[in-house]
Amino acid sequence: MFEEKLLLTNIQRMCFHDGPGIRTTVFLKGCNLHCPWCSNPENMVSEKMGLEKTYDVEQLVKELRKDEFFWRDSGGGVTFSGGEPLLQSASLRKAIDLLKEYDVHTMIETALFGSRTALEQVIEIIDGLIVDVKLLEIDRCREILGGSLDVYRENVRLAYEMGKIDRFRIPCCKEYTFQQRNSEMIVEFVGKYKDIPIEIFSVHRLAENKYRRLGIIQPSYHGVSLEELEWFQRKLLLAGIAAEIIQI
Amino acid sequence: MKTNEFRKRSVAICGFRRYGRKLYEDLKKSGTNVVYILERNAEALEILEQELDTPIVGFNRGMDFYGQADVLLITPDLPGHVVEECLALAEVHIERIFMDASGQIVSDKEEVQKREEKACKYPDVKEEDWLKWKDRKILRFKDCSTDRERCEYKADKMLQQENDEWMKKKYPNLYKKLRIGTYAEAFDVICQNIMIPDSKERFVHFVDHKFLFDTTRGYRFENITPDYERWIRHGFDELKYPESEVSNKFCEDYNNTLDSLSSLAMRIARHYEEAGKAVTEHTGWIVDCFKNMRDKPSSGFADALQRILFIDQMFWQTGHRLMGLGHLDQILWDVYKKDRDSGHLTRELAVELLCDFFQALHRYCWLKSNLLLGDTGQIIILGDKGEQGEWLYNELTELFLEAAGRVHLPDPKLMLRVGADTPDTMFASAIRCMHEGTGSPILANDDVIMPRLLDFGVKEKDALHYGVAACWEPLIPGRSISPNNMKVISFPLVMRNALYRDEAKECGTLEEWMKLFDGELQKEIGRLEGIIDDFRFQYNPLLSIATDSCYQKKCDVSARGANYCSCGFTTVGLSNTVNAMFNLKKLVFDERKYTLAEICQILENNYKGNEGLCEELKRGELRYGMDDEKVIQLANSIMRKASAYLGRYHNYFGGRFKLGVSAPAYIDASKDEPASLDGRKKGEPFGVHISSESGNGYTELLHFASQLDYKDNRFNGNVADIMVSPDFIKNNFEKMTMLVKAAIRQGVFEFQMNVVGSDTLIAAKERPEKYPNLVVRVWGFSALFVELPEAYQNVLIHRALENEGKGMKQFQAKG
Repeated sequence: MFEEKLLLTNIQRMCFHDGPGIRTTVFLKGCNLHCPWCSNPENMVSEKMGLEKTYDVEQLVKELRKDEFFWRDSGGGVTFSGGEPLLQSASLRKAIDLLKEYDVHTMIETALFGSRTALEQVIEIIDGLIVDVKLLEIDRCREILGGSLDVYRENVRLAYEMGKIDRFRIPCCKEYTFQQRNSEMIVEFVGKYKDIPIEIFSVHRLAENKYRRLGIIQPSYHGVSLEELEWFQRKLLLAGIAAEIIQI
Repeated sequence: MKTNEFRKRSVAICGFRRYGRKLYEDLKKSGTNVVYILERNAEALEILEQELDTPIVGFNRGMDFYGQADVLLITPDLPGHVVEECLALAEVHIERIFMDASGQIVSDKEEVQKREEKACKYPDVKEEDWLKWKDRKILRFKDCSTDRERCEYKADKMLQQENDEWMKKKYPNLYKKLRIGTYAEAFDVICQNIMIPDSKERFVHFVDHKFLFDTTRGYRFENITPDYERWIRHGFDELKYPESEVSNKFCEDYNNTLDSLSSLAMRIARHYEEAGKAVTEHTGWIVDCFKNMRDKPSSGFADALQRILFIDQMFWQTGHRLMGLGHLDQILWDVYKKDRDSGHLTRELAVELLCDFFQALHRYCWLKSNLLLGDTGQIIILGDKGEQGEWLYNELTELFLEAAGRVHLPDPKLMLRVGADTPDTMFASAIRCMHEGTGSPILANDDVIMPRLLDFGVKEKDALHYGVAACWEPLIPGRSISPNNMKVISFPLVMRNALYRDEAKECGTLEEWMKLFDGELQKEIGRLEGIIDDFRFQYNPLLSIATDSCYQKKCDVSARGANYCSCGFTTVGLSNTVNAMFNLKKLVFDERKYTLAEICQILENNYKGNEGLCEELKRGELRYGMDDEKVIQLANSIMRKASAYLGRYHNYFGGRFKLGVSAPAYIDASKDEPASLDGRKKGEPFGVHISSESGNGYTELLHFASQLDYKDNRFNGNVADIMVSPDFIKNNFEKMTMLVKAAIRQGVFEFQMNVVGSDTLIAAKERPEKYPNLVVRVWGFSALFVELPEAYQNVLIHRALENEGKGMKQFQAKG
């Protein structure tokens, strides 16, 4: 019975950024990384904020389908985000299966640092993945994010081969992802997958209140300016990669 | 400025809200005689009247006062040109002193000089005589709607007073003219005597304040849309009954009214002919245009626009309020196409003409406004349906949207009819226009509205061409004479009455208590009976000419000449009441934390000492605007009951009554309403139309709105209203288009957007001088933000903050 349930922190209706059309984004709780710039820390920690809600898969799908009309008309659907959605892959698979019965377009936004088994559980049925590209230096990735780059690279390769990567999403953070060495590595990395669209955006500090409520100190970091994003966009373009600047 | 300077003089203060108050206090302290305060803000008027011992005078209703002061202190609250216009009404000279925000005198001589140049140009009368006779300029007619004389207009009794004798002696002819007996005579006097200004603009459009009809709100025709098409297609003579057909008094008046109009048109032609090119470069064209009116149809696009403006101004001149303009993209299509095909008109020139047309309609905004500045009801309907139900959009539809975006005026406003099969490009054009932030167009959903009209008994051929009254109440332009906003029904008032019933204390469940609510609702609607019984349509040949079927029936609109004469009411506070009922259920009946008596006490104390509870109630689990079955059911059941009770009544023409959830009164009706159980404190505004603060994305509210039940008579305007920041639309244009289209397909009744960010609104409130042109949507109209009363500004700021997820607290902390 446990697999039938999903733990989530929020259902955000009418999202314009998490895939094609008008979408409903489900934020699942739990994460295996700890990015300093995280804007959803409530999904990262095990402490409860009182916002979590456990849904039966059926109950969740019923709630989500309130926006079905808007999905149909706009070519949208549901995006699972988090946290790391793949951590609840078994129930997630059930939710996606059920949504598929209603012919709903589904996507997952993931950092792809989860286990291969988890990925395999959903990859066949999912319509697309939004894959984050963060720190690509092995040591820094392990120390700062707490993730294994080998696992990531392997997962990306698998997802790409199966044609499931809808877009890469690059959070630009001055002290981390945007540092010269890392940004060069990003250009090189995404250069391998030239047919995949890319979105770049600046991280923000809007989650200050959430950190305060959680009683944890928000790490110190900075976003980047629009000019810097445009500079990065040009840099990608020089390497033959078209990227779109988005606001999140 | 030293307030002592004015001690020996009689002073009037113009504009009070921000800067006037301090000035007033200083003057009072120094012992100056402040004879009146000029303030055009309706809400402020009421409040200040109770607070101050000095008379507060409305900006176009204070003629009796203007001459009493010998110096006028004009604060930045009231722009100089508005003061000009006010004084022009009464033609009085008073020394004017302009002050800036810090109380410094800006300049006065220049303004006075300008004023003197505007000497009275009245043909036979000397200027000083006019001044002496200044109280006599408005034609006032006896409020005679309820007695047998209601069709006989009589000159106001003021003409009988002392000065009359003087007038009679000196200007016997004019005096005779002003002692008017019937409508046709009054209309003729107006046409013969109104002063024609030397307009430099492309289009001639004016209202002479000296010859306005007195408006008796509630009895006159207002909130309707005449048929302009016939005036374009025919010369005025062609509209008349042939001699042989004139068989009753109405036919005579009908023809006389048209003759008077022709003579005015000729007078305007002559005026510009004599003035020549010196007045305006458009003189030649204007002269031809007005000369043609008598016996020829409109010769082209510009000519037709001018003709509409001319007829429209006559409605304003004769005391109509809230006049819609109708399906202009359809009405003008033939002449537009003819001009385009013959190469006389380019697309660009057409847009320019439309911009000038908008400017002309906007020119008298201050005079046309009803409750608030900008509330003129000048609405243009775009999009229509053909005989087979096919869409009638054309190039002009697009041009109207384009021109509205370009002129960026709060008024006139646009309504676009749409449906599930409206082309995407049309939706995109609409959103592009909305993005300009003028609040136009409002979208009306044919798929929902037309079936409602048919069910209500509107014939299919008429329903195809529906439009809306001044705001959003559906009607058939040129065929309905329905006053659609006769009174507002306040649900929170009903709820309060039900809470205070003695039997309420014995109720053990919400269902039991709801019976009391129903009883109170029935009573409240029963109170409308008086208004319904009292209501009488007025004799009005001008409107009869512009109303289909009066000609054929040979009878006036006031004698059942029009096809449709149902009436409408609006409601307010449904959202507050639904939320309050859920809270009542939880606190009193389910959890039994409080008794009903305790709840009443808390409300009476305005939540004093119960701030925590107040906040909790605001964030109740179930709230209006959530697409939860229980919420929708409750909202629908309240509206169904109200509409069933109202459905029992008919007006004296047999017309039925309609009801809707969009009401302008969300602030007015809430001012004296004590605290309510939705966490609203005394005097705080009610919820706005179909909107929600709980917003989980617009899709939730739109889905909610599409599930409300608009059947039976509940279609008298139901607009879903959202706040959007301009950047949000700009960055997501395509998806916003998809959203709006999906909302229409899903069944939203009407839809409007306020495209403005909280930052802009807050800055504009703090520094109004920097945002003179910021336009916002208020209810069924748009207005300049800085001109709005503070209460309305606050509602918009609050809603914008909620929409952006910032909440009011942050604003309060900042402010």
